[in-house]
Amino acid sequence: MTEQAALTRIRFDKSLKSFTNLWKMIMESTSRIENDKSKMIAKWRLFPPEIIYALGASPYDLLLHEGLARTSTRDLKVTGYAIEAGLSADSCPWNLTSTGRILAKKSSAPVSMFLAGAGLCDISLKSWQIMARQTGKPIYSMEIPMFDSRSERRAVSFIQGELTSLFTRLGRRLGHQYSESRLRDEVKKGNRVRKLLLGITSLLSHNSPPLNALEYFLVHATAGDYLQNPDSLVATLSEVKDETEMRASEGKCPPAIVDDPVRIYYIGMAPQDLHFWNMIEDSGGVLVGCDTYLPLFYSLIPENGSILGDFAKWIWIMSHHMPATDRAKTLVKYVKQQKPDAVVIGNVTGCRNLSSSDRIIRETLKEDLGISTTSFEFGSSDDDVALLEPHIKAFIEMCR
Amino acid sequence: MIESLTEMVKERPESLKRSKENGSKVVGYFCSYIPEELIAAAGMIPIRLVSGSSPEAMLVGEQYVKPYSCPYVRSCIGNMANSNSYYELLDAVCVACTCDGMKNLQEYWKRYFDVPVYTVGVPQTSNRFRTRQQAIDYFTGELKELKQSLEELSGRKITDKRLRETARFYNLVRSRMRRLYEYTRTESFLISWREVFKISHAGFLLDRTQFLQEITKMAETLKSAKGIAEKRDSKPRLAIYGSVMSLEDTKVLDLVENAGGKIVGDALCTGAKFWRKDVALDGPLMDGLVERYLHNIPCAYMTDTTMRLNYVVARARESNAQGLIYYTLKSCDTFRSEVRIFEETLQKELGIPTLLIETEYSPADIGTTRTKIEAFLEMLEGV
Repeated sequence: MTEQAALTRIRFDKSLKSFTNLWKMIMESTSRIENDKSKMIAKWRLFPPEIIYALGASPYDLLLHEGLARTSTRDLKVTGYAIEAGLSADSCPWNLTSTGRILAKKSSAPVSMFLAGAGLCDISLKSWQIMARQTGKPIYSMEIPMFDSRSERRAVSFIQGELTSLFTRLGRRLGHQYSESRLRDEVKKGNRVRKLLLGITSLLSHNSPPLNALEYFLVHATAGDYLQNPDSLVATLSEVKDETEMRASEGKCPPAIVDDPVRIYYIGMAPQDLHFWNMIEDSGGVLVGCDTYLPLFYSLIPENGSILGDFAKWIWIMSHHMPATDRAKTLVKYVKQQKPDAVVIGNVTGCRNLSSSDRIIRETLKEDLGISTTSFEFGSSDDDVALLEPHIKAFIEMCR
Repeated sequence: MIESLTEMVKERPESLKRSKENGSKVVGYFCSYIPEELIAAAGMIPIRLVSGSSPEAMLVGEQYVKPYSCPYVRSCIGNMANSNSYYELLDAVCVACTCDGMKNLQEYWKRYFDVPVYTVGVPQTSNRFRTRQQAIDYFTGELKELKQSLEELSGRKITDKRLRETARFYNLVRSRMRRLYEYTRTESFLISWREVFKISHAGFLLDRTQFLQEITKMAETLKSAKGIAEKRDSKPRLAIYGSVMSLEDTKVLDLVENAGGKIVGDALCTGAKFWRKDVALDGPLMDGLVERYLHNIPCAYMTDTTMRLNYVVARARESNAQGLIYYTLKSCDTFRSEVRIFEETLQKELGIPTLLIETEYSPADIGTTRTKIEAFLEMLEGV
């Protein structure tokens, strides 16, 4: 698990046997697609992967996998390629890294085309356009209009139109005809993943959360692309769930958690340096939830009605594209369920999207939850994350 | 030629105060995707909020948004918190939710300032082949919503007749402005691009009837002065394109002039681009507004890079520019990320180089920006 030199400073929970398989799946994403011979579509982080599976292709959560690859290889020089191609040096490190790795040809991912999210995050769309242009690969986009409850009807119909158009355009390119039944099947598979992720998340609401922060973050991040094989992922996540359930029923805590830890809910983009998650336990805390990938499994997609219409409606109320106040109000329900003592909001330096609404999120959550809330700021370097340690310690100490 | 306009702009906050005392309402708007015809047709006074460039306002804005977010957005939030003379007169503000910055802006205004905010969603993929109609439908719905909000605010129905008259009037203003821009590219030197750009900014603030009278007078003066043009100078001719250039943001323009360059054309949303394209009056008015505002030259926020590129190439070509200044505000990801494709295309199509100037509203980078501009001009002059 820690064979890559750069990962040695990161502490995995070795007593959680089932996690070894999941980590292996995460690290072998690219080779799995190569073996599969299916077309790999690099997708934006919070696109429901069903869209791609329904066309017989494999989704690839570019930001996550390339971010992890950068962490494990510690190859920081790649961002220069992204900057040379036009991205600003002070923009989001996740996008700089993934764009840089693709342009520097450091990525081993056999990406065939790019699927960008429009209407969501400017830098993300622009990065995708740059990667497509520079590599000569096709790019498709799907737009989600900004959330506003007064425009629900036309926005849902717009999303439905986007889905239909995407299925037609992408289907033609992939030589795969879209069908409602295929989409329904993929949604069913996706819902099995969602059910497991919701189940594992609910275990963290127990008095003794049975998972460490790092393992939970990686578990919930699998919602990004189901690791290119939803069936295998379901099997692996079931093992993780069974093992953690067993721990929970026995009242056992993972090794690193101290007695009476401060229960932390994490909101926002995550740092690329995975060591951050260890710091929570090292500072006397325990992670009870995280919203980084929550919009992809906040609830199940209805399977039995009009699949396209229901899917569009489900996409419409994903929290990440909501204005900050609506997003915070929506998150309150999920945060409350996990019974946290405090909320930590993570802001990636250079993110003009989620991070810029930090003040509104912090104030709204404080008002609605009445618990301590703080914001952290970090860049892409490991040093940035190391600097967070005293801040985390002091915050957790204060919460006691 | 523009002294009287400059005076009017100075006095504008006072005249707006008087109008408000007489019962008029002032509605500000951000971004070129808001049809000001709707505000005017509701009997209210539209003002495009393009005031930026104040380091003090930017610092105040940082109490709300992050220091690494768009400086224009930071200033606009700071201006409101600082009770800028225009901002404190606003009865409402309309925000086109385009880039991340604009989306943040409307949220902070909604939450912290006691002014109604009307948002308008703008489909980013508005010109995508095959989905154009759904973008039109969506934007039409948003404009209808805006119309209704403005009617409620003014207590006055926007009738078709009134909207048609207003649109006709605005078409006239636009055509006059285009005529003024024509003079900057004919090498007549009767009026400089810089002056027309200032006129353009005045047009966002002044009473539009008064503004139309002024620019009509100017156009007539220029017409009669034709043929007595100054001698052509040998200054390097530059086109400028990029992020929103606010009213007081003169740093780069001053540096170019002081270094001996001459801007002869622009493709800025506060410049030539704003006055381009009329509202069609021969069909349903709402369709005309949608077509004019949604399918004008797209902002860098929109996915249609090709249309943008074609327009900038055309502007640079018709103004005989020898180089392009690609002006981008720091943290403006939408414009910044397209610099390479513009650089390559202008080189390929016109054989002219591009200079990227990435800056913000602070004097801190004056030295480095000056050096860059001087070196670029020297290169153009073959020194």
